[in-house]
Amino acid sequence: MKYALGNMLDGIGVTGLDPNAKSYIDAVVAAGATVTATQRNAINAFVKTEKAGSRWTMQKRLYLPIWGVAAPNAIDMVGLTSGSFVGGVTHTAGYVTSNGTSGHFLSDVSPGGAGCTLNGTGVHALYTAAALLSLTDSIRFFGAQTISALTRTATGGRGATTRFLTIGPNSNGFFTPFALGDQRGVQFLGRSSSIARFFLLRTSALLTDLQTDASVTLNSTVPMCWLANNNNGTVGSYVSSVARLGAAGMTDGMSQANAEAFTINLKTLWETCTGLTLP
Amino acid sequence: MIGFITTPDTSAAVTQAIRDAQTSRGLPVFWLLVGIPIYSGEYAGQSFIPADDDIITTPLRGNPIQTPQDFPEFASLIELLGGLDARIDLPVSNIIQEQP
Repeated sequence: MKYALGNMLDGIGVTGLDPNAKSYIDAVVAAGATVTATQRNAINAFVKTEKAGSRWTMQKRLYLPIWGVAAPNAIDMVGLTSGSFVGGVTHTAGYVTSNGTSGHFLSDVSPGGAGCTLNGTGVHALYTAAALLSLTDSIRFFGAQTISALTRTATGGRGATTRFLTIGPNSNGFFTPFALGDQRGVQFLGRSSSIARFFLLRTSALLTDLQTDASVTLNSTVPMCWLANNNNGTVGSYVSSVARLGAAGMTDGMSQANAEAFTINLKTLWETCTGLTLP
Repeated sequence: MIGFITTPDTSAAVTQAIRDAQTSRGLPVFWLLVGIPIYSGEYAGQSFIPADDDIITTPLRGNPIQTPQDFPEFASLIELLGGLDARIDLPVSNIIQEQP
């Protein structure tokens, strides 16, 4: 009702909306979110930009937990499936936070179940915080694996001299991109071939790291997890409550160039919808 | 960590009842409480269901806001777990969190 009223008040009809954008907006409104004209236009622009860049079909799950309520926050923008918030998660306008001991977000499916492939898996998360974010490598910003460590896809916090610990995608290969610094931004861990993987941190600037690593086995059973790690059904390594999750998702087949363009678009979407900014 | 101590079987039943409360209304399963195994301390071998006041007042749906307490099943699940006064404060060290 508030969505329809908003459309009448600002004099803009829904005919210009991309059908996928409209379906997502309708779904979050039905789940109890209030979508402003600015947010509606930002979602529409995001989807159209992804389609214009031939990246929309690469999106396998995309969650935008900015609505302050669990049900709309859990909706996948791409297929309108729903993930699940588990335990102590606080829903705030613009982001969600874990209580650091039980709160996490699970996709409805594993990377393989979502349509990610062995040599094309990408997983991302937009994290922000009230101040510089520097969590240790005992936590995972996102991650999942089966009983085999060779299926890992995860990103964790800092080491002694490095900003992140990343594992995979779809291997047990570790790498530690970037010197110590702020972890806020769009974190994107992707695999662009059987022997190449990359990690991006998108803020107002862009940090990239490309590594050689052989893919081994795709996780097709254990759901991807954000705010923690899903180790074959046992969830742990929670981020602390200072880490604010504003977007999350899985992709397939994105090159590093694709991911660089997508993360710009995602940052714009989140900032426009929330009125908040990344560093 | 504020919550309930219970058996693994009861914990699984509570989780399933929360699932059912959503699917029986034609909703996807977008919110869950899941028991955490307790590995050390007085309650080792049992399950811990996190249920502090923030959790049981989580906004689940909007316009108007509905929390777990607005679902009729909530009272019976809390009763099954011994009532809100049965909650304890469990040390985080009693559960394994860090993973390789």
